[in-house]
Amino acid sequence: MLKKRGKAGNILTENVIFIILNLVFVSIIILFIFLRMNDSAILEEVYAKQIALMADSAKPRMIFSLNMEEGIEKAKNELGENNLNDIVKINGNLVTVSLRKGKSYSYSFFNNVHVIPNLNKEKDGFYFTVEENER
Amino acid sequence: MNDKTAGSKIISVYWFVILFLVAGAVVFMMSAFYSPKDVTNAESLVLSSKVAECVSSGGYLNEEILTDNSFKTDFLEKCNLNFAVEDFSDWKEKEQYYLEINIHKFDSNIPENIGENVFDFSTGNINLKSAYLLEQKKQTTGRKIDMIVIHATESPNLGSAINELTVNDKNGYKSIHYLIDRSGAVVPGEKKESEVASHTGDSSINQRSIGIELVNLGPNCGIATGVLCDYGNGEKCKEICEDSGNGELVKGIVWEKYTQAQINSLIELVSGIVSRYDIPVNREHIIGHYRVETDASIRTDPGPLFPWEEFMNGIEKEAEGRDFYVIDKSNNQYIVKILALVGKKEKNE
Repeated sequence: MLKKRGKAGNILTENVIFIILNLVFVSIIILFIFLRMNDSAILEEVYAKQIALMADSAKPRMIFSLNMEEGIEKAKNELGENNLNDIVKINGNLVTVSLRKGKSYSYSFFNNVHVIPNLNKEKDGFYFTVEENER
Repeated sequence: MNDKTAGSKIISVYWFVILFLVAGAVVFMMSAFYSPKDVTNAESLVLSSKVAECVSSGGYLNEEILTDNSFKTDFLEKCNLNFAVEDFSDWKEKEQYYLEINIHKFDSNIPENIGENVFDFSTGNINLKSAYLLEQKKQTTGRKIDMIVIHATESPNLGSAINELTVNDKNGYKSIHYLIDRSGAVVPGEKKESEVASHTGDSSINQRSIGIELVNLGPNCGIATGVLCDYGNGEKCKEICEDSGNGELVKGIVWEKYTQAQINSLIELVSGIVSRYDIPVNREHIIGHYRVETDASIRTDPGPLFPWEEFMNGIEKEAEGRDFYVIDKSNNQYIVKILALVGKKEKNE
């Protein structure tokens, strides 16, 4: 009888460890999926490319806008409410989007225009004014 | 007992191997789905359009290009383009763009009508052109293709169309390159683009063309019964056309209209083919089946309801900035060839 109890105990321990390892594994996968879905780096790249494409197609005296609500929400936590204007910077023909502290994504465009980014009143997006390039 | 313990350990190992495989698949799918797409093709199209606007307007050549020498030296500035990226010096060196423009006189006596070159300009990273030509060669085929023939299946649905094309051998026609369903879904046909499909009665046309079938009842719209509509339900044709309102009476015959989804998919498909094989975008090279077999009693497809104007305008718009025809004030014709390529130019910090 004692032998039988020992065997039963071993089986239980092994199964518990097996289940715990499975749960940890599945948790890691779910965490990875969640983090990937909400990754700021991806949003930075998406916004930078969208802005560059619109700048390429734009002509002087045009104004175009982009809804960046999701990115701005993330940036509020990382950069603070007072620094939202710095999310999008355009230097020459280079668009830089920064939603994280110390990190950014840059993408260039070929249109020879001066594009000025401005945070909109609702603070859920940017509008961009296109002017002739004085260079 | 030892065998049982060993057996359960082996099963555990297999279990974890399977888990790792599943995890790998999840990681791969997440990376594929949640990765921003490459926009360089879209940029190339925009660049081509901008250059086309600079070179011509409303179908007329900007004649300054031929008379003003500064266009060759300052082409980018004249067309309001800037390829330099000043913030990152290594980008200036690499140059992430390539642009090539050639303007030829239109010469009807020469194959492809490409006559004397009157303007040529190129700038940027020549390596992008090499990579592009290599990619084109991979996609294109051994045979020379300069025609696209549009057909209508004249049958109720995709299944019956495929059945007719591959099994029934109607009039000796057996094969096609693409079919487009009413939903807009593009289905590859029996033949690849590299292969000759017997989609018309003229073998010389088959040799140099790609055939595309659109699922459409054609003039069978009003027919309730008959071989073409008798697929276990003789009312199928009438149901499609009368009940859905997709039929239209033209000269005493009820034809089925094409769906917008079909036309949109056709425009996208044909634009890609035209680009790959450098097919001129005009009605001499993109034709309906009725133009091949001119006996109207044999072939009428794609029929009078096919929106040729919308279709050709759609392709021209998609192909905007590539090869196109212009005239000058003296009505001299020119062919403008534009090659605009964009390489990857991004920076993460």
